[in-house]
Amino acid sequence: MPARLATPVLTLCLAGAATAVWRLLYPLTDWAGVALGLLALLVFMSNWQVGITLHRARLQAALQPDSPLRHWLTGRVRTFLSAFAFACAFLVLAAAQVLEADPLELTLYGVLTGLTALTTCGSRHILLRHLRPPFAAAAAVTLSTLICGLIFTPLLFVAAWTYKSFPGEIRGAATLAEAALAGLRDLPPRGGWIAEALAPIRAFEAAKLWLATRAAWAGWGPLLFAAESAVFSFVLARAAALMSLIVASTAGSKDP
Amino acid sequence: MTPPKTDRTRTTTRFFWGTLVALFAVVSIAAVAAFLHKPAPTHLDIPPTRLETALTESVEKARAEVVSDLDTYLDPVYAPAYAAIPRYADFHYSILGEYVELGEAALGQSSEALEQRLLAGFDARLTNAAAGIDATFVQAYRDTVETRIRQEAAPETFDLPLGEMTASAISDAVQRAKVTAPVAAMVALGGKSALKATAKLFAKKLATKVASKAAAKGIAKGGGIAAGAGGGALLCSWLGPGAAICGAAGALVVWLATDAAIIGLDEYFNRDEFEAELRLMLDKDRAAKRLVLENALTRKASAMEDFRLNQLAPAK
Repeated sequence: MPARLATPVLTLCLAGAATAVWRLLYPLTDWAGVALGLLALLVFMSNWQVGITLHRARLQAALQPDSPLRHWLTGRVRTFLSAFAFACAFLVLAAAQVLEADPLELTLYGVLTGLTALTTCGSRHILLRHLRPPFAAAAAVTLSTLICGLIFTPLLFVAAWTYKSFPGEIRGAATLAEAALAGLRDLPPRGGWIAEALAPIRAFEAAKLWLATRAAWAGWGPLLFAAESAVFSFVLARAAALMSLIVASTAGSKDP
Repeated sequence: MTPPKTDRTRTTTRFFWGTLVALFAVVSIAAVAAFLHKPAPTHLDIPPTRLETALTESVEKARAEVVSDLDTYLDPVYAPAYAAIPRYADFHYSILGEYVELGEAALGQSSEALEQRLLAGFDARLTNAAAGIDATFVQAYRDTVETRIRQEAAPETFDLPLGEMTASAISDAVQRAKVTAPVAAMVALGGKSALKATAKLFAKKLATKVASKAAAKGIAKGGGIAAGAGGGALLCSWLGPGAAICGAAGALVVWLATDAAIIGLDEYFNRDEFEAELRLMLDKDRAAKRLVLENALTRKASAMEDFRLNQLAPAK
């Protein structure tokens, strides 16, 4: 396999294996959550790494070498909070989206992950000719997130608009509360802490779908609903870009 | 030259590879276990996607079944009304009926009276029919789903009891069929009022007819009553002052005889048309109600079926 393809392929394998474990085993046990948890941890570690090196580089350029502020403005708290928030958002959204995704959406998620990893590696390689490593990595993540997010948002929109099947009981619900309850029906009957965490998201999604399918919206509601669900591509693209960085750094990439 | 790895880098590397290997190990073990561990089936379980298809297709089948059977439900709703038509015509073409209807027209109660004579208990019968349709739909849906699932089953699992997951999914679907857009609710919302509106129009027409008929009879009676009163008084002239009573009785006899003759003639020429008009009113309402029930069933079925967002786009 060409060296440049190793990182995207490994990133895809990692994401694919975690998704498979989550989808296959969640109906049986909550331990399936560990797979996505590990993935989120990798995303967090990569985000931390990218954020902290960038912050340090900025501080190094901004602060005098003997300034006492150097001990206080380490950027750790800010980087930790932003990395943690993104990892949590990714974990919860990915858990909900992957569970209810149909085969077409899963395929698109896979292609998006692989393509984002490839774009990240490629753009980082090019950017390193002009930028120092911390800036190159951060710019590569942003650039590939934007490019792949913009490409895949319309594709996911079409998938949700044209091919995805939604439960009729949500549309047929008499009230918003009834629709929200209908959204919870697909969660495993055993309950558990993951179901508790997913319940508000499922209920919110069902409530949005119910509102979107009311006649008063005259077609705009479903359109907005499909567009809003397609925006998940940006979250997934950023996570894939971050994962590809940690894969590249741990799987023996020659790039610094 | 590759820079020497620090402890932290080594930990990260190990964590990464460990995660990858562990995930692949879990997927492989699950796949191998699923392949090797194939116990003899003790229950009939259908894969979720096939079950979903079976549930969705059963909705349409149950709807078609109930729609083809709608007349069975409408017959008992309308039968008493149709049966009441000859009785009502008997009443309408009687002296008593004529005066009662004239009084009701004067008091503005024609509509309520007509409903009472022709449509007594109609609302309750229609509500019962709608509830019956809902119950039949649920039963037809359950039967169709169970038949479909048995058709989907492999020959060796055909006679097995349903697995927990499949049974629970069917039970949920049947429960949803009970509560989703009930036909009874649609009928209660607007299905009942149409016939009352038609009956009101008919009663108004009837009141005008009765009043004009009475006015016409009044002119015809004028000379006859005078002759009857005169004749009665003449016959009883030997009674002296009592001749006045005979005169009044003579007038009454002539009044009623004229009424009976005119009503008899009216009945002879118009009764069939009158009954036909009432039957037509009921026929039209029955057709309209059938459409309401059919639409309610279609709405119920579409609310139960899965849908795609592009199906909700407004038609151009």
